[in-house]
Amino acid sequence: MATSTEPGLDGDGSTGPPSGAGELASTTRTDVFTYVARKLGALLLVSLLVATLTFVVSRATADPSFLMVGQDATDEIIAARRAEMGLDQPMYRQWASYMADLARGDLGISRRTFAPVGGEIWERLPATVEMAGAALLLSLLVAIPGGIRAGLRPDGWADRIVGSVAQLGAAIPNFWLGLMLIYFGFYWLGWFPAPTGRGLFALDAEAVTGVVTIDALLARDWTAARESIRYLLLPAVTLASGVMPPILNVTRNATVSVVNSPYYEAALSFGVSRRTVKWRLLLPNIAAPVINILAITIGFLMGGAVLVEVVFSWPGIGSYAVAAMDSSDYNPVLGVVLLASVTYVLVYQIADLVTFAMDPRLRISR
Amino acid sequence: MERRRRKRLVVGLAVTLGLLFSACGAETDTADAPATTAAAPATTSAAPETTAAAPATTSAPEPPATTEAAMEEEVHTLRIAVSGDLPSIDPIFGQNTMTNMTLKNIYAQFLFYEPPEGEVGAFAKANISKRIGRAVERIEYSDGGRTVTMHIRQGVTFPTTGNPMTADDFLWFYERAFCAKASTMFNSNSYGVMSTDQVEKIDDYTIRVTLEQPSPIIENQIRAQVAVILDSEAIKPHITEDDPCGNEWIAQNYAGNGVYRLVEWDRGQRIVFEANPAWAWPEPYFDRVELLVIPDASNRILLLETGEVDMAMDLDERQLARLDESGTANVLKIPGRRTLRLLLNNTVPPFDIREVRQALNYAVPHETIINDILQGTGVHLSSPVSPNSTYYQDFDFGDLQKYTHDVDTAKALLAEAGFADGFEFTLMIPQGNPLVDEIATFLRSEYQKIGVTMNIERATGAVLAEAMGQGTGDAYLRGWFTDFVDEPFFHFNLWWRTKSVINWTQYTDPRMDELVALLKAETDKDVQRDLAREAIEIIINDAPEVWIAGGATQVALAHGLLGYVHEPDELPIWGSLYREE
Repeated sequence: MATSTEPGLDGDGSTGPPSGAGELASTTRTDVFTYVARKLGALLLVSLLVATLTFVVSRATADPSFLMVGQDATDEIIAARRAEMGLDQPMYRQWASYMADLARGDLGISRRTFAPVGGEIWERLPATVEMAGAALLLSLLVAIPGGIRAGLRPDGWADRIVGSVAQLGAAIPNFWLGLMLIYFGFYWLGWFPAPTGRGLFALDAEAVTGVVTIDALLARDWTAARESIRYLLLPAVTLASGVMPPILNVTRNATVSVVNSPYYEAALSFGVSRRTVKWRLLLPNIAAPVINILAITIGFLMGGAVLVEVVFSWPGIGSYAVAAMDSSDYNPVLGVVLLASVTYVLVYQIADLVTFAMDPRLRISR
Repeated sequence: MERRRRKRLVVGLAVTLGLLFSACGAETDTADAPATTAAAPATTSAAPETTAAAPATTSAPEPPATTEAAMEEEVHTLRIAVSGDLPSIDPIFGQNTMTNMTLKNIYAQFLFYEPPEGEVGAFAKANISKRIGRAVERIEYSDGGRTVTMHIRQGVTFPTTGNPMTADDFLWFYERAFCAKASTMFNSNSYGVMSTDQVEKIDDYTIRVTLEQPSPIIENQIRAQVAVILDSEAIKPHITEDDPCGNEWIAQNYAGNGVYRLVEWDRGQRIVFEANPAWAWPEPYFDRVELLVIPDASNRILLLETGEVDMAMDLDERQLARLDESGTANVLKIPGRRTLRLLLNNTVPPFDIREVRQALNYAVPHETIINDILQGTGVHLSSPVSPNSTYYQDFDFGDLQKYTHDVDTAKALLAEAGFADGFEFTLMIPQGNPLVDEIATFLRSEYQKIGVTMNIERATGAVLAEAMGQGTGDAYLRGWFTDFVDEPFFHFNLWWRTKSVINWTQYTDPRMDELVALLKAETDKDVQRDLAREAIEIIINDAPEVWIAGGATQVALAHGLLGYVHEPDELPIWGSLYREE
């Protein structure tokens, strides 16, 4: 297929769009459409499989009715609880009922709280997003410049520091680090507030996003914004300590790979300034692996911050899921697992799309 | 070089600014923070129990003053660090200590135990032999105790709607009990109410309950934290075909009229209650109560030590002992009725042999457990009833047989049962319970000395509850058990009647069932004593479980927090607490 972009003459002598360019644009659009459609289909299929697998596993572990009824119970009470939860139905009927509800966007009711699971997750999601977002931001602020600096001069002092930080981050359990930060930061030095979650201050404005820091900034409530950041700092640092090392390593290795490439050396030998080479050659070429590792990190942050949430009393979806798991409260567990898996898949797809958009080599048809 | 120096300067400035920013914060707490007073020795002696009968208050309470001066008064806030969020505020579905404590304080029970006389210092015990009216003003018994007429307190309203509390709300209590089929149904059944046909409205402030036979525990049961009155008028509009009992609405919406009412619920973080202006009797010292959700126990301790909270719940024995030793908080040790028992499934060999069960009891080094693991706060236990139980003491059960630590006798019993070479079994315990883990691990090594191999299986709460309910495990050690009602029928009916749902040992004995049936209707104390004594002797002899220790109720409070009133259910009463000025 022709890929030339040279302007050509149409039959009437006027210059119009190049004859190959229209075909290329059309081909590119078709490619992208097909690509996106395939990815969405994959997302749907994965979600269905995850939902089914989690459904089966959760029901295989325990019957929650005995825990729910407690000591003041009779056989009649237990039977009533089981009927209420649909556990007296055959497994396939329970699955069909759940899938039908899911298709309507209904995640069911929590049998501990009697509240809709969708609403409960929605209520707690901003807390997780806030902590995860802050951790990611902190990680990027350190990992990207740090990784590039280390990669530009392998085995230099920066590279050694980066290597040590990455190893420490991977080795230290983040819940332990969190407890130490609380002990020294709050108890001993009194520099940070008590680990009571998102803080006990009042926000004098309506919640817009549910993310307290952002809502405070939007409302220009600087006191609340400052307080929110104070409460957010230690949990974000704790979480960042666990997710930063892989970003650091990938950035560093990708930088080394680009720096050692012939085109990089050629650009420098042609006299192109280092600054230009960094912005025009280095950054675009390390973007793909960094975006991929970011996708993995985001997926992890959305579902894997449970220990940090517990240590800092952060009211996110992780601690919500753990409380539900201990009671074998199926619907919240299913809801959170689905959310985590959809997030993972979605983020990967977005990462793929971004990479697809950034790298022209991926858009050229065979 | 110049560029590098500039970069270092920028980074250094950024770090410094960041530290300054975080250190210079405004005050965070909106209510008064509890002051930490100088360390004082923990008060551990029990206050004398009150015996003088106090007259029941019959008049409706005065609402608090609402003048400007009153509004400018300092707001006293009680902060309690709890391990998890309230799953729901439905009084019939409370499943853990924190939830039950909350339900007890935010809803009005029919009756409550008479408070201790005079000012309460560090702590005192309620007079459990006398119940006085709360939602119910007074009760009349007739027809030999078979007819129970309840006169409802007048002039009481529900704070969220202003609706008056009437007999319709009491009728609805029973209707909902049989609709929802949960703890209130069990509660009602236990004193003989088997259907709503037995409950009749006489007028707007009187209901009559008709029983087949008199019940010795009716007043104890309508004092429980599940026996509470809700605003039926507010709830009924939310009843649907899918939710005919209003469970979903009640779980998340407050429709009560307890000493405190729910005002704010920040899911997973904080729950706030305020003194109920429509029902503040007796008027509490604390205007506000905040439950802070702090899942990590070490953080709960830190918050207590720094004065951020007044009470820290759900601490284990070692943590309480360390806290007590450090003097940074006041740890009350109240002789309690809780018991630690290893439940044996009597239908699973070899636990179907009495001598084997007795042998396991003789192999327990009770004193070591009490002194080392329970840090000296336990008592020897040789039956399922704590020696601190009121009826245990009143009925002089102290002379009953005791299982002492006797390895030789244990081995002899095993040999007699045909297990001289020992046997193997699996003990199920809950995950994340350090005390139970420690005791199980210790017992494993002790049982090895008599040739018994005990494997430990850790399970989630739901898995353990299901195994216990279905009777599929060999043995279970779940943690402390406390009977909410200190009364023999309650205990033996709950634990030892054949097919009782929490008869987790699957124990069965025809004579025991007969005794339970007799105790159900027996109100004469002397006859109760004889029946209870026979029942407890049967249990001790049959040894359906292993009795490890009885325990004290331990409460971790900030220094200067006084007025703790102890009741058999071990649930703190917020309204009695106050701060030393």
